Amino acid sequence: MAEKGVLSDLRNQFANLKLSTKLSLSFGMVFLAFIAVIITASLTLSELSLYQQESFIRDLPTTEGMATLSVNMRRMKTAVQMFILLEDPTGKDKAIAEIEQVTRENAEIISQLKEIFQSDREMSDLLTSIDRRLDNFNKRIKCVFIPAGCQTKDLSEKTSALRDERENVNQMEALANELKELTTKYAAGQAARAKQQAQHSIGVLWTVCLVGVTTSLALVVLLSRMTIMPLAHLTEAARQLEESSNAVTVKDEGRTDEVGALTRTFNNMVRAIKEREEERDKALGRLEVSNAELKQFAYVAAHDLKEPLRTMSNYLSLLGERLEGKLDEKGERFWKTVLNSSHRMDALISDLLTYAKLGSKALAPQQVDMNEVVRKVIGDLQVVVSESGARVERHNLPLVFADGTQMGQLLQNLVANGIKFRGGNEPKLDIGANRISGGWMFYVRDNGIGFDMQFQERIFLIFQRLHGRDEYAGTGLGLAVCKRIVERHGGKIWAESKPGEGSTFYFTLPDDLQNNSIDTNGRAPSNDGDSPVGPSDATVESG
Amino acid sequence: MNLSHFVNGIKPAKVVVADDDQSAVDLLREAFERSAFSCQLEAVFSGQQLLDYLRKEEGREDERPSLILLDLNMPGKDGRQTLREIKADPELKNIPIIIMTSSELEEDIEKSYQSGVNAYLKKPNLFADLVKMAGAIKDFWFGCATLPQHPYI
Repeated sequence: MAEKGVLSDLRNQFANLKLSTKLSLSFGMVFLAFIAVIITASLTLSELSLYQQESFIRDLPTTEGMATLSVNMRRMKTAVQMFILLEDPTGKDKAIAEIEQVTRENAEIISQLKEIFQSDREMSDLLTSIDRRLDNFNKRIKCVFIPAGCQTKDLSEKTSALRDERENVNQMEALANELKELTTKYAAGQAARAKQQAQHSIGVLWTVCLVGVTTSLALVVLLSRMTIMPLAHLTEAARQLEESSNAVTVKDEGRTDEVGALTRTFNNMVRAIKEREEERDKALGRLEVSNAELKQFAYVAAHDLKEPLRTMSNYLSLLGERLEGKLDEKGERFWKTVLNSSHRMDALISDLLTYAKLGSKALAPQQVDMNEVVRKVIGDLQVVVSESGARVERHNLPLVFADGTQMGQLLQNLVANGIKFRGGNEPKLDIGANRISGGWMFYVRDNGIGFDMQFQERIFLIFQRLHGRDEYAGTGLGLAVCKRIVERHGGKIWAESKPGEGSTFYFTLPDDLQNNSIDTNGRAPSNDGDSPVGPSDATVESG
Repeated sequence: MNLSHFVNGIKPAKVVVADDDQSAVDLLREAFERSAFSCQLEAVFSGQQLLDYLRKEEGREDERPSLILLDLNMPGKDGRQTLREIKADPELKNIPIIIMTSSELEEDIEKSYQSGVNAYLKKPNLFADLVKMAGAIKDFWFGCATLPQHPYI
């Protein structure tokens, strides 16, 4: 298990290495293996050569032959001495037989040796001279021992001849010794040659190894230059592309291999990205212009609509003074309608201006105590609250990071709506907040007339009304303003209701004010501790 | 009732209103009459006309208007530019200016006060309010300016 762990660790480490390091490491391993093989081979070779040397000496057939030859020489010497010393005929016969046997053996050995040392001139010469001496000796011995073959009769003559022969045998013995020495020398020479050959082989092996290592190193360098360098260039270019719009292409150096293909593909990608970015920037620019124009348009249109309307209503009042008492009942009604319409149009345009301003003005976020906001809103709505006899219950609300003025607008609209759309009972409002992940969810609950949930989207649209103007006054912009405020703060607004059972408006405010046009300074409401706020600490604002 | 214009001399106060809208000028005249503000109301219809008018009177300090009522949104040289030019002119910069405009932009309000205007008034929607505003201008402005003289008459 532990080994497995170590192995996988190693594998992970290897996988995390740079490509160039990996390549070098792999090649390094190959070199090491290569060198190990060569060391083993050379060691084996030198051992082999030693063995060869020894076995050469041991197994040489001549060694034995030489030894026999010199033994035989001594045997012959002894036989000749025996022959000379012994007078009895059986002894003499025995000596003759011995000499004949030794002669035969010697002839055999010499012929064998001659065969072996065919190529060695020195040895051949020596052997020939030994052979000739042996031959002469044999001939003379035969003259001495076999009367039929020779005229010599006198024993003393024989004896002196034999003494000469003994001298001859001694010389032969010396020759045999010389032969033995030569053989040893020859064997040593052979062994030395074998050793030299082995050393030569080892040298060749090392040369091959060195050449291999050098070639491999060169290959590694070349490979890394060819593959890893372009990869590094590509990485650098890709990093630049990531960091800035200043995209750089990489030279492909006319390569047709995979790296070249990658480089060209990368360059195409860079060009495509550049083109797309340019297109996108253009489109964005156009959008920004049209967006700014639109915002400006809404504001300017509303503003410019107000001018003639103001003139109209001013002159209407002047006209009204002059018509005072001169109109009949119908005329009075027409006149009232005209006045009301101009006032309604003024209210509409004012609301539209408010709405347009919400879109174009930057938020001014700060720490806002929502309790304070609600208190102020209820103060501002004092007249409506006391006239309707509304009870507003406020639970403990958190601190949020938001635009204070807009929070006031938002809650004022929601509270005013809650009171405005009251049913038969006296209005009762419930305002609170719950901690949700990443922010706060506020709610404003009323016991009013409620609405059908099929209209839950429509009520937040601009100029959308669910009721006639005679029933409930208003321009139909209140909730659209609320929606815009909440969405500008990165939150959501929605409502739950049932006709006749009141409605609850919910809106969320995230902790991190995500609005690209606002400087949030990384500040967030520090109120994670007290959530959710229970109804136990509710405050009744007004009755 | 109010003695200001008698106190100031035989000549009634001279007020210049710069507004491209003739009807607005007419309404203002009507409102001044209603508030018993018997001043000499001159009207110009653009920023350039106002500057020309003021510079024509140059050198004769007694001929200069006592008050300028300036609209911000006018074609050509608008009220903002005109205001800057008046305040940059050492001869004219001491003439009191009241901005009377329909603009509610905070930027306009802030910049106007920074330029040194004496008041920033939003044009009222109802004629009754305009009459009240005219009365306030008369009472407050000319009243205050001439108040210390009363005991010595």
